[in-house]
Amino acid sequence: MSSLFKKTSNIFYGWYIVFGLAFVTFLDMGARQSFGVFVHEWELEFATSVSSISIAASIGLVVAGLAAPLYGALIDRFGSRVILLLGASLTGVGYLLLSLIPNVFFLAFVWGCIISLTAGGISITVVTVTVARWFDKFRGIAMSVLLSGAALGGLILVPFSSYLTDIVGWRFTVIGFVLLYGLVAIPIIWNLVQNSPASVGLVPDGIGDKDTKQTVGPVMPPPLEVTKWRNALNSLPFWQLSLAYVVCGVSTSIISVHYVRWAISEGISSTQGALAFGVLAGVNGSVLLLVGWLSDRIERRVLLGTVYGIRAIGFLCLVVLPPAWGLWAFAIIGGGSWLSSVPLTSSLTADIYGLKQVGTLTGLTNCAHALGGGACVWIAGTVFDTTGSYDNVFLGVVIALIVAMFISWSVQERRFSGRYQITDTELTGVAAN
Amino acid sequence: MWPLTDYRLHHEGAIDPTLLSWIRSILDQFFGSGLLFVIILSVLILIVTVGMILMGRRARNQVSKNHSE
Repeated sequence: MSSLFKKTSNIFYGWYIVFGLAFVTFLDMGARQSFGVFVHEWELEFATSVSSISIAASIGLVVAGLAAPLYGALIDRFGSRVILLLGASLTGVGYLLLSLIPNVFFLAFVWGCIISLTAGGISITVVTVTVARWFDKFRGIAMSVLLSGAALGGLILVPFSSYLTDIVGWRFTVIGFVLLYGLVAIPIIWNLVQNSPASVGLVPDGIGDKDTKQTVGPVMPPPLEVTKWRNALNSLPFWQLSLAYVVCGVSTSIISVHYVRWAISEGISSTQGALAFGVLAGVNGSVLLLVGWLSDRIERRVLLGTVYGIRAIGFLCLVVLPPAWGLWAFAIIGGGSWLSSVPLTSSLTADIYGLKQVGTLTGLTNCAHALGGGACVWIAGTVFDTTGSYDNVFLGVVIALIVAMFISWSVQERRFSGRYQITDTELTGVAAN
Repeated sequence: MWPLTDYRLHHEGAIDPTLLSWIRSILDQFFGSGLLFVIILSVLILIVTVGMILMGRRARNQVSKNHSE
């Protein structure tokens, strides 16, 4: 054991934070996605309908989306550590209250308002911004490792919740979540998470942190670095990234809801449709890591545009290929681009606007992602009900994704990103020569 | 209302009820009963948590030591 510790002590401390937060996100996503497991239980116990339960879900969706910029602003002001600790503690309390609810009205209040609001403190916005502050050169791969926790959470913990509900009932399963937050998430955050490398005498990526002597000069701030988030609204890259990210939200949300339904409407069994979605989720996890690794080596805007382009091809497959082929083609092609846009967009935001207001800016883009996605899911359902086909919806998404691809490619990353700015040390060298 | 319900149920990494049943049928073949799966996963979560905390604390102490030197 001691040799293991000796080896691990050479690893940059930021990686401990990445893996710790990936594990916390894994648990948090698993707990949140277990909502679906409880719907049938609530339906029976509260003698209510799925529509009534869906009101709680809808309120939660809107609250979580609107809370994202608020939490972004809070971490910019108070640092990630305290917000993560508060978020995990209050979400644990929220789940405790959920285990006590007597009827569907309390469900709407506790899930829709309390849990959805407090869980924003350990949301993707907060954890990605935390990691963005610890990495510069390896920001892409660090974000991807972090988000792989989110991808795995649903696949592993939802079956866990499902089994536990069969064994001890939904109330004790929810109390199990309280224990996960209290005994796992909070201790990990408390022991591992620090606000920034500087707070423990390190530099981002750990480059030159041996013996705490910096060998790399301070990086020149990006030209568009903002100290007030409103200033970012006056610049083109923010709108380019946000607009493309809304399209990302629209495409992923539509497919999340309508993929299996589309398969059924095309005469494919729901089991096969669900299995294809499982393949999509698996491909997603592997490609996510590859994209993160690549994004530290080539321009992120190129990868981001390519991700949207590949996703557009996936949607096109659903329209032009025979349904059975389209189903699997999308599972593989779409899976390859599923979550990859998240680390790329978050990294680019940090690269271009610096770290001072990155929380608020990431929160704003995530808010647009969530609300845009939610609205278009509803529109897609309405179009299907009216026309009896998803073809028009998917073609619309293809066009939107192609637009997002060109918008992403048009971001002037070399001009605005901190990655491509010359460091003070290099500047001194150039001047000396 | 169903699209929003489904959206929430599937949000950020979908789990479809049919997919869940399929995953459970596979897990049943390996673990025989859900109880065993729950126990094994719980123990794994605890081991990973303790391991992460111990190694993380060790690393942080090392960083602090280097910094103070």
